[in-house]
Amino acid sequence: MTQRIFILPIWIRLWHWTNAALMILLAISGASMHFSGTGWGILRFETAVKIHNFCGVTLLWLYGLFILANLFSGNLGRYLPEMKGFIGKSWKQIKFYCWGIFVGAPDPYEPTREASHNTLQQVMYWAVMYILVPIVLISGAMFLWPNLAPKEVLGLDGLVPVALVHYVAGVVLFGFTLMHIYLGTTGHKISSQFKTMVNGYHEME
Amino acid sequence: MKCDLRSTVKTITFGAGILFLAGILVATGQTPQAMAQQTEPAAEEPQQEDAKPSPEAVAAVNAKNAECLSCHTEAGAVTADPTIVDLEALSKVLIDPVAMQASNHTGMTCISCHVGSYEGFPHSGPLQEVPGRHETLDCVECHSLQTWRIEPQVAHGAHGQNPKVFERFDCNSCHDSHVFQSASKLKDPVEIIAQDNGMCLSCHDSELRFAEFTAGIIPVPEQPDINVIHQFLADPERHWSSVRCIECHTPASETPTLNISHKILTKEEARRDCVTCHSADTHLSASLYRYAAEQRDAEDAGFENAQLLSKAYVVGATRNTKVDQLGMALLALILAGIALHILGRVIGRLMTGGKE
Ligand code: HEC
Ligand code: HEC
Ligand code: HEC
Ligand code: HEC
Ligand code: HEC
Ligand code: HEC
Ligand code: HEC
Ligand code: HEM
Repeated sequence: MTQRIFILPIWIRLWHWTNAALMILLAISGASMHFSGTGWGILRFETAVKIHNFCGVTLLWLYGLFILANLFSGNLGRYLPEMKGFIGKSWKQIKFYCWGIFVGAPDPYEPTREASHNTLQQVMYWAVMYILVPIVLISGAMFLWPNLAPKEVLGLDGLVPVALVHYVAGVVLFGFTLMHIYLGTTGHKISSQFKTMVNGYHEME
Repeated sequence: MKCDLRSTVKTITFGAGILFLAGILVATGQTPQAMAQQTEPAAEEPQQEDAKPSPEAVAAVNAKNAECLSCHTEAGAVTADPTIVDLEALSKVLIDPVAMQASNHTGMTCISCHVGSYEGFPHSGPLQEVPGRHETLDCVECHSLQTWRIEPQVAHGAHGQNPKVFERFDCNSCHDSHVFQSASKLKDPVEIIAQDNGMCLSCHDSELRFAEFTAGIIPVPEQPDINVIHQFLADPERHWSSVRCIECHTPASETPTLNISHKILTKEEARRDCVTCHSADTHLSASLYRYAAEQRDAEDAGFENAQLLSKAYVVGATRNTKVDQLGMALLALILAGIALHILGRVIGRLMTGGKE
């Protein structure tokens, strides 16, 4: 009989799915604007701008809430890897993803309520949530309110570097999202981790 | 033999013809290129003088104009003799000599346009029904070709719809002869935008001037707020400082080298498709940024429409193709990695008999 432990409180799950939906909408609308007129855009420019601006501002608020909630709930701990045995644990995890998983070896890491992420996830998520996402958010905010941006940089309009940073960080973030979704299928069953994020329970073997 | 003779005669005639033409060219001291240029339709008059006018000529014009400017400037309006001048009336008819210096009409005497009774003071003659217009030459007097081209365009545009509006609407409604600088002279897109939008907004964003202009024609001269009308632009204010009204309110020409049409498109006809500007073949390159400085470095770095970048980053128009390729490569790598991983898992599962 499988045993269930509760690892994800409701607010994290709500945050996660809202965040995910916003990121995907932002990526689709952002790409539609960027490739406007090339036939690659999915949305019309006008629609894309509306969606992107709305979702962008919503994501800003959501991120603010996320930070506050993390500070006050102690959830921040999930993201801070323990330095002791860091390399060894990471190596184990890498070996699992690159080989063990193919031959049916068990995941070396079983999540607990206190620490739902394995070491690799901790580092990755920390970097994404506390470095990459802020870069996208700040450059996005400068794009939206250009008086926050420099007037001029190297003889070019101040929005040029802002746009470049926003675009590159957006692409990297999107790449991360793809990997993230894929790694979601590496639970005990393909769907287990998605279920966990819905109901909050992790099923033990 | 006969045949040979014919061709010899032909050759001689031909050669003589060439020599004759060459002789004329040498005699008149012109190169063939110069001839070719002369046979092209004459550039629109009046011709731009390549050489700067001599200092003496400039001094003469300035001296002539100083008479008029002794009254018709901010400073003049204070120092003018109140016993002979109606200061109240004068305060309404001032011009800015510094702006005029910068304008296309710099170097002209006031009296080349303001003829007749304006040449002396007090200005005799009947007071004009339309201020300043009496005995002032119309543009057509000096710019006949341009005016013949432009007048019908204005008439067929938005301001020609209502005959009563059109009656009052002429070149001066938009152009201030003492200030206007053509786009080819200004070159800097920011200054071009400020000037050209200033023309339109002086009526369309001013209840006062709009009401004055339409007094007696349009009963309740109320116009919808310019930002509300253009709400579809997501951020109209941002566009007012980065594009011109005429970008959307004039028809595009098949020949991008021609001057912009003066036919102002109505709200039904105006362009509203964002892609006209927000795309790689942006309309802005051929119009507003036609005279802008090139941005070689940015172009080499992979930016499209790089000449826009000194003043604006226009989403969709100024993307960097090299960065795009890198981005695509990164995403392709990630997808390939995922595909390989899936393959590994499938094979692994087959070999271990279905358990993962
Ligand atoms: C001594 C002061 C004085 C001088 C010098 C003077 N003006 Fe005037 N000008 C006036 C005053 C006052 C008015 C307004 C009353 C009127 O129309 O007579 C006026 C009106 C005008 C108007 C018409 C404005 C309108 O809307 O009715 C024009 C055009 C004009 N002047 C051009 C000139 C030119 C060109 C010169 C130089 C050759 C000149 N003025 C010299 C005082 C002067
Ligand atoms: C290229 C032609 C041209 C030149 C040169 C010119 N003006 Fe004018 N001026 C005009 C026209 C056209 C108007 C009528 C504007 C209107 O109807 O709104 C005008 C109007 C005026 C007025 C009436 C005030 C106003 O703003 O309506 C004054 C005063 C005047 N000019 C003075 C001068 C003086 C002084 C000079 C020389 C420094 C000068 N102008 C040079 C074409 C010219
Ligand atoms: C008395 C003659 C005269 C009158 C009247 C006149 N101009 Fe000019 N205009 C000139 C001269 C001279 C130049 C300078 C030569 C040049 O740049 O082609 C010039 C230059 C220009 C230019 C820049 C050159 C170009 O073709 O782009 C514009 C624009 C212009 N005038 C507009 C007007 C308008 C609008 C009017 C009527 C309100 C007007 N002018 C009335 C003589 C005149
Ligand atoms: C509705 C406002 C408006 C009216 C009316 C108008 N113009 Fe213009 N005109 C403009 C604007 C805006 C530009 C700048 C276009 C550009 O930058 O090339 C311009 C540019 C010009 C130019 C320089 C570029 C070119 O096309 O050669 C000339 C000359 C000119 N106008 C003459 C006239 C004459 C003559 C009339 C009257 C028959 C007139 N304009 C009426 C707004 C107007
Ligand atoms: C001298 C004042 C004045 C100036 C300058 C002016 N307009 Fe107008 N415009 C009017 C008036 C008056 C109407 C007619 C309003 C009506 O019929 O209700 C009008 C109508 C229009 C309309 C038609 C709206 C519709 O019903 O479709 C458009 C578009 C327009 N203007 C654009 C422009 C642009 C662009 C410029 C600058 C190049 C400009 N206008 C400059 C006074 C002006
Ligand atoms: C991006 C293209 C674009 C630009 C830039 C633009 N317009 Fe328009 N304009 C339009 C369109 C499209 C409409 C029709 C809007 C509608 O009916 O919903 C319009 C409508 C108008 C109307 C008609 C208002 C009415 O309902 O009677 C006026 C007047 C006008 N524009 C003036 C201007 C002026 C002045 C500027 C410059 C400050 C400007 N436009 C810049 C696209 C543009
Ligand atoms: C006439 C050309 C033109 C048209 C048409 C146009 N835009 Fe723009 N737009 C610009 C320019 C130029 C900028 C750059 C402004 C700046 O300097 O930030 C801009 C900027 C923007 C921005 C800010 C992001 C950026 O690129 O800097 C948004 C959002 C935007 N436009 C939305 C729209 C929408 C939505 C439409 C169609 C309904 C539209 N635009 C149509 C010229 C245009
Ligand atoms: C997953 C997150 C995001 C992605 C993938 C993304 C992607 C993009 C892309 C590709 C563009 C086009 C840029 C160009 O053509 O160079 C863009 C434009 C823009 N982005 Fe984002 N973005 C994201 C989040 C945000 C956020 C959070 C904000 C606001 C705070 C924002 C604000 C903007 C603005 C203002 C523009 C300019 C166009 C407009 O006004 O809509 N973006 N984005």
